[in-house]
Amino acid sequence: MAATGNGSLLSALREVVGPEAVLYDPDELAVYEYDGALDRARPDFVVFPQTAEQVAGVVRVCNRYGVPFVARGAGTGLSGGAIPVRGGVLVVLTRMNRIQQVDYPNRVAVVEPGVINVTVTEEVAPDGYYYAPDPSSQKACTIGGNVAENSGGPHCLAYGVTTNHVLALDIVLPDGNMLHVGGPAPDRPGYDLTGLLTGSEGTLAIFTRAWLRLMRQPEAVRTFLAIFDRLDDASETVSDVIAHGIVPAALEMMDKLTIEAVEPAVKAGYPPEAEAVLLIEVEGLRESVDVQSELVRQVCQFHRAREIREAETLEARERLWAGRKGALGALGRLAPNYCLQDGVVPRTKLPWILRRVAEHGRKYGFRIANVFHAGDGNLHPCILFDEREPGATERVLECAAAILKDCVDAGGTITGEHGVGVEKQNWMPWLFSEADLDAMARLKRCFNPKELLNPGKVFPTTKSCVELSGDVVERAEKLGIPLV
Amino acid sequence: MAVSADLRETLVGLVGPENVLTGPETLLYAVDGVAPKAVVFPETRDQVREIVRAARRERLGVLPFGGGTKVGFGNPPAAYDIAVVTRRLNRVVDYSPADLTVVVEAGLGFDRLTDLLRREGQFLPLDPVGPGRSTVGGIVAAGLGGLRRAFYGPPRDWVLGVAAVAGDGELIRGGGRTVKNVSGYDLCRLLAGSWGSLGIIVELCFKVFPLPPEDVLAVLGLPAPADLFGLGRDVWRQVPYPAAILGLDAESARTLTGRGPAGGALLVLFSGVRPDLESQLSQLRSVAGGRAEFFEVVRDDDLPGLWARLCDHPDLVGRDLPVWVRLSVPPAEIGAFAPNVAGRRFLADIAGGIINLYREPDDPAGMVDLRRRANAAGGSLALGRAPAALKAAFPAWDALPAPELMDRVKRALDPDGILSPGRLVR
Repeated sequence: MAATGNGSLLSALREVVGPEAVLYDPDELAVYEYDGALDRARPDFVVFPQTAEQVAGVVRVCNRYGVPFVARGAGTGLSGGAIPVRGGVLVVLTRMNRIQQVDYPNRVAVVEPGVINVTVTEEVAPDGYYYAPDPSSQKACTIGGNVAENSGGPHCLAYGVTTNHVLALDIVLPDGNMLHVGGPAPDRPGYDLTGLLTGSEGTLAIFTRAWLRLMRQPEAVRTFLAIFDRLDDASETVSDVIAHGIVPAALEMMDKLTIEAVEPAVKAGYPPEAEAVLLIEVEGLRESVDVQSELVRQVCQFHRAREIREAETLEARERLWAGRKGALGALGRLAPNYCLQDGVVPRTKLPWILRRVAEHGRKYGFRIANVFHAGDGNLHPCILFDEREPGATERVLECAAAILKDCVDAGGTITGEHGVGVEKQNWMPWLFSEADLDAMARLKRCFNPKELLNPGKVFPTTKSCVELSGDVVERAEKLGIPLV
Repeated sequence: MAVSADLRETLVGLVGPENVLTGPETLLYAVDGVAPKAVVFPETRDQVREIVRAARRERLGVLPFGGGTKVGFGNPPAAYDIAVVTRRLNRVVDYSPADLTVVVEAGLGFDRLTDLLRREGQFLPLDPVGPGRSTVGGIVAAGLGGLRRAFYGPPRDWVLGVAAVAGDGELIRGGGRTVKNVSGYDLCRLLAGSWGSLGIIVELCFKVFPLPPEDVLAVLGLPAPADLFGLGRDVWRQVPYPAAILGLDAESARTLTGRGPAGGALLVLFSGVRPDLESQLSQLRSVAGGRAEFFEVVRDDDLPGLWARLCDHPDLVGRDLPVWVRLSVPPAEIGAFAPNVAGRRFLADIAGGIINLYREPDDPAGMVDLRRRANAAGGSLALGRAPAALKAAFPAWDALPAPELMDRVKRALDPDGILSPGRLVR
């Protein structure tokens, strides 16, 4: 497609964000057709606004032309939340990446949506504070994406997920109006729109600024690696630690296949012959951390941990964590493709669900690595496959569905922190009745009545992604709207 | 009255005569002086659905009613025909201590839940007002943070799942039973703090926590009121993990703690293991330095009773005073409001940024000014109770932010506006 004259969508977008901040060359667009999940959909335009006003301007242009638009951060999302399944304009917010204010007396940081997660903590750490939610992709993912997906992370066990740490938002509504919701003062009257928007997967509004809660660094932190010869022993340890009245700051598990992938890549010091390792971190006041550490050791020993190692130095601690946070990247070494799922079960169902995951792997003929937030009951079964093998992709999705159905049957859910997106939307009826989904759809229409913002996500649809892409061009042609 | 007779007949048909009141007892459920035409006590969620459907057919105003501890909040109802009292919806549906989750019906009393959890060494740190009377549904519907809010967060942070009957009579559910869940929109947060205007909450799943090994409360008497908030903020900055930092006026301090220092009392709660508590107390002593005229430590068996009385502040601190003002500001700004509480009775959450101020309905101009200043500081002012005359002149809430959007949300779940009409939104 080539640019043609005034009055076109291209020139309208250029007018808002400047000519350098609009991409439309198919080669350049190709980079933006996928995020961290399997599905793909190519946008017709990519824009890089630098201010909230520009975001609103882009949204108004999209409204004028009746073109869908989707917000995107770093594109690390794991449910296809940032792919434009009906094409249109991709609003990439990575240039809005300033930490605007740090207010220690109120323990709040005010940041733009393109700020990378870890930079918030880096900014405030010298003063003794941190931002708690720490997704494994925290060195790349953006706060805007975190808020949209209500991201979790290993340290959400004790302190909760993103929604517990977002106090207020500046938003652009799908009609281009700008609004502020929430605030740093507690218990603001009115509906908790900040809470509703957080985790809405980019379907209700585009965030242009977020007020984040800062936490004070703990007085003491101790990190342990517990090594097990049996997977069951490790998973029983998890619920038993919690049953002993300890809520560790983090309680993570990796199985043998994960260790096999991680060790050569990261050299975190996980023993390759172990069936499972638990990474356990306790933090808080000095004495309570000592008391809890001793209890954790006892519980691990009771469940036949072969060895319990403690990170004695900051470097050792970081090395143990590097293994966990690098696990997904390392799994790419084991097979050409993987399908990562995000089911949750009540903690006490962990031993059962892990056995079921293994059974499904055998049944469908895939190796499945397990690396997950055990303390939360949040599984990340990672199904290894090769998409070049005929029928493999279809079987992987069947296998994933079988695992998630088991999670639901065990009283859990299909996604703990990655989002529903495009991959799991047709499984929503396992969890919600028609009335539930209808109420959510009505709420969506309050914000996004024309469904121009991030269409085709979260809720069940009969159309597949492939069928949907290309709609914009066809519709534009029919309506005689000049796209470029 | 003919309408009442028909209404009574309809409701009796739905829930049985033992679960409907239409006589003078309805006065017990009056809101801002308005008694409902009927009070109904459903025992199942299906009964709640039928009641709401019946009300919708006749366009009757419905208010959910728990323990009535926060009934003074909000603007007078625009229509109040039926009180739906949730207290007979009070089953414990599922308690799984090893999962740190509990599923209960909305009318369960907070005290009963607390007893249940305590037997397993767990708790739900919400500190509602009137802990002996409030229901879990009412606590979540109001969404107000308790005295340990700064440390543990408000109620909405503890709700994992919700079921409610929306204004169209449909049962809607959000969330689930696991500590992590991002499937679908977060209806839990939307319903928390909606004051019964979007749905009648019938069931809740809460995340719970292990009880701390021990709690201690330091009571510091101050010689002059000017320093109370300043010292509280210094403690928040300099002592690692206080679970609560409260300020009390002199008279309330005398009522509640037995000693009445001229400048009021600062109360600092710590939770944890003994050596940490001692170390925190000693840090607190050094921060307080010579600023406190006495420093007492309440612990063991003396503490739970005192804590429950503090949670009962509307009845104790606010005894005989008709107006409860709940001022909420960014925590660091709280010191600026010290002059507004001088000489009055109050309980302040200095860590969280909340002042519960009790007063006579005098000086409405002063109230307007206080609201303006709270708004300017990024905060808000709500009336927790007030005589009808004051409410008529002075709205119970600040002007809501994004009113059009809030209105659309209201209509999405309550299309005919029958749930708690006028209380929070129209």
